[in-house]
This record gives sequence, C-alpha cells and structure tokens, in this order.
Amino acid sequence: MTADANEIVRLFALRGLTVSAEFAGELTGQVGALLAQAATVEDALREMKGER
Amino acid sequence: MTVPEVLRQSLSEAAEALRGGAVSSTDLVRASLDHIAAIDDRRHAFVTVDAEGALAAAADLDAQLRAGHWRGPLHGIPIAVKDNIPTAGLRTTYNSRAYADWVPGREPPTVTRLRRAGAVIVGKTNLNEFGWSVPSDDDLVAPPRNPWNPEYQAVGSSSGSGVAVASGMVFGALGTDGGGSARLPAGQMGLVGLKPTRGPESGVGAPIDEVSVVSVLTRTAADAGIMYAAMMDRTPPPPDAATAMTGPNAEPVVRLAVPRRQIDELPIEPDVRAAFAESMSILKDLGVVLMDVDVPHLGAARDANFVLISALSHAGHRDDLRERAHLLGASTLRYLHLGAALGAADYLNAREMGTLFAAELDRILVDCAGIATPVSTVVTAEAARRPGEHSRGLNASFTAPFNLTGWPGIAIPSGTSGLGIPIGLQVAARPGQEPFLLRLAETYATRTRPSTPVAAP
Repeated sequence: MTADANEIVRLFALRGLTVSAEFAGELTGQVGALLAQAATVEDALREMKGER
Repeated sequence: MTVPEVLRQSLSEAAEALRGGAVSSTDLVRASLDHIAAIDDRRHAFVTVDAEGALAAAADLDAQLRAGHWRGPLHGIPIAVKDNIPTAGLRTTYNSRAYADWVPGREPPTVTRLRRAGAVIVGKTNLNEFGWSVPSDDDLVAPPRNPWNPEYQAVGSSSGSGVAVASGMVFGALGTDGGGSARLPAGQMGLVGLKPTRGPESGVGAPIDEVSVVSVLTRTAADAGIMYAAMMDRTPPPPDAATAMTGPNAEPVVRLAVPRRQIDELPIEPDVRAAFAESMSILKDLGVVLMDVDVPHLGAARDANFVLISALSHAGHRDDLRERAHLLGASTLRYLHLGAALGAADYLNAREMGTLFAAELDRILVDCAGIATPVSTVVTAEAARRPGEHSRGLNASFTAPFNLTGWPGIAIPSGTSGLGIPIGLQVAARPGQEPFLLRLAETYATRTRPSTPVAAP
C-alpha cells in the first residue's frame, strides 16, 4: 500500500495539521507501512471471526 | 573508578542493611547521587537529578526509622522514575524541549504509593522523546548508552531506567511498557523487567494507557516483587526463592507454551536463538514442561498494538503538534503524525483484535501457566531501529502482543551476546499472574545468577 505526499498533506489539513509536501514525502513510507498493518489486522479479524 | 560497594547490593539486601542500622537512607542516597554525578555524563541515564529533594526525603525517613517507624522494604531506598511518568513537584520533561520546564501538580497512583512506601526518587530517567520515536540529537538529553557495551545505545523507550539500574545508580526504577518498552531494555541490560496486568490504575493518565503500563526494572526478581507490591498496593510475594517450580495455584507441574512456528519463522539473530535454546534447557532442568504451540495471529496482534500506539500517541499529542511542533525532534514529529492517517475503523479493528486475540491465546494455552519467548528478536538498539522496521515494531514481535491483551509479562536475564550485551527470556501469563511470573523468574535465577552484577562504570 502506498501513500502519496499530496494526499497526506490534504488528509492532515483536514485534521488541523499543517505539514509541508517535503515532510509528507518523508512520511509516505511509514504511513504506507502503518496502513498495511491496519489492513493485516482487518484480514486477521475476518479470519478469526470465520468470515473467510 | 569502581561502583561503590553499597550500591552493588540488591534492593532487598540494601533494605535489610538499612533496617538493621548498618547503613542509613542518607548514606544510600548520597552514594547514589555521587555515582550518578561520577558517570552519568557518559551514560545519559538521567534527565533530571533531584539531589536536594532526595536528601531531604532520606533525612526524614532516617528520622522515622530512628523513631521506630519502618514503612517496609522500600523505606529509604533510592529509585528512579522514567521521565514520561508525571511526578508531582518534580520536573517531568518526556525528554522533550517542549516540556523542558514542566513541573506537574499530579502523579499516577503507582508513584504516590512508592513514595508512601518510603522509596526516595533521586531523579527522572531518560527516554526517546515521548517514548515514541527514534532517539536523536534533538531530544532534550542525548540517548543513553548501554553500560554493558557503551559503543551501543541502550534500547528503549525505558532506556534510562535500565541504564540507571544496571549501572548501580539506583536499586530499582519505574519504566513504562506500551509495546515492550520496559521488557526490551530489561532484557538488553540483564535486568528483571515486570510489566504488570493492565488495569484502571496501571497507567500515567494519558490515552496511551490503553496499551501502556507502568512497569519495574530491577536486578533481581525479589526486588521487582517488592516494587510491584508497593506500587500496586499488593502483598509482597514471599522472598524465599523456590528450588522447584510450582504453578500459579501451586500445581506441582508447570507447563509453559512455546510458539515454535513463530519463533522459527521470525528473523531472530543467532545469539538470541542460542540464548533462548539455553533458557529452554534451564527451564526443563527446573522441571517445567514445555509445550510447542502455534499462535497464528501473533504477528497480527503485534500489528494491532502498533496501530493502537500510533493512534493513541497522536491523540495524546495533538496539541503538541499544533502548538509546539517547532520544539519537537524530527523523529518525534514523524512518529506523532502517523496516527493522523488512521481511520476510526482501523482503531476499532485493533481494539477488537485485542479481545479476540486474548480469547484465542487463552484457548491455545489450555493448561499452560504461561508462554515463553525471547524478549527481542535482536541484540542491539541499533538493530532494533533499522529504518522501516522500528515503527512496525519488528523487534517487539514477542512483547507487543501482550500489550494488546493487557496480560502481564516478565523479562528474565538469560544470556549474553558476543557483543557483551545481555539477552532476555520473556514469560507472559494470564491477567493477575504476576506472583507466578516473579516466582518463576526467581527460581530461574537459582540456575543462572541470583542477582545481576552491576555494570562497570
């Protein structure tokens, strides 16, 4: 899963956080990894609940 | 430069000497302060040292003892408190330039109870800023060095607490543990690190309390038992080290589960594997029955815990990001922003995973009293912080799942790497089983060493 720097800037602005495109660019890898972890959790939950 | 003899004792030994009149609290506190002054410019264990307050408290406790009032085994004993745990009237910085002058008016009950039990807080220990970042030079105080090999940093986030205890600066310290932050440094510095069961009074009064628990780091299991009992208002476990293991309910046969497939598949460093194999032999020698089990969602549980840490750290520091971002370190800024990318469903899924994983683990363990793993997958702090791995918590693969469940876990000294840096064994158990974990650690130490030696200055 990848996250685009401009998307991060816009998303954070919605949360009242002002970040530069350069800073958001540095974050893309970590944000992508975190969202991948969240996706892993969602998949595991489905499995644990017998939904797949 | 050597470590003063009086500081080489365990907490329990110092308590006995103090009660018997062989030494005073003022003697112990002064020795502690002198040792800190002598070596901490090279170790960076402390952010704040409260010499004046500690000596005043020690004088008062000495007077109480002379008057016949003994508060218990912590009476007059110098300890340290991690600097992300508020201490009323004593500066608390989180090792952040944004909180360089903050003196809280409140503190969590764990700290108040330790004071009431007679512990003397000599200072606040170092951590990576807010405990959720990679240590960097723009923190308030530079990162602590591992006293067993100062070429390497001490792993965190309760790194300063570990260094302070392992170096003999204090007899015990409080840390916090949200993903392994007390067990990891304990394991890496040859200490006992106990993360108690999560409960309504186990945290610091912040959102992160949902996964993080005030924890203890000491040089012996008996010492950890003394601090745990005082801070949680429990009866101290009896100080007699058993020579044969018994289970939580005095069962003669103790079974421990070992998540064999997960241990085989994770990228664990060879020295850690060797130490774990040796610790399994020691447990067998003690009569413990080891049961290989599969814990299929151990990795997902670690991931869920890191989703929660990211969300909760962001929630707890939103005002810092909005109002004081210019004072935060570069690494901290990145880590604290991460949670803003998560959605409500991500947070709720991670919480639900905690409930389901605890139930799954309970079923898997069947009649096992606990589950044994290495504390960490790696030896050094530097290896734990490899880019792309630290924020996902790979080094915390065995510790973080028990933050998610809220179960207690203990780090037990169990070997030394080729670098001279210690390696730890972790045992986790169902909620409320701290007495069993402490007894197991104490018994284990009868086959290794009853007390971790103090690291050379």
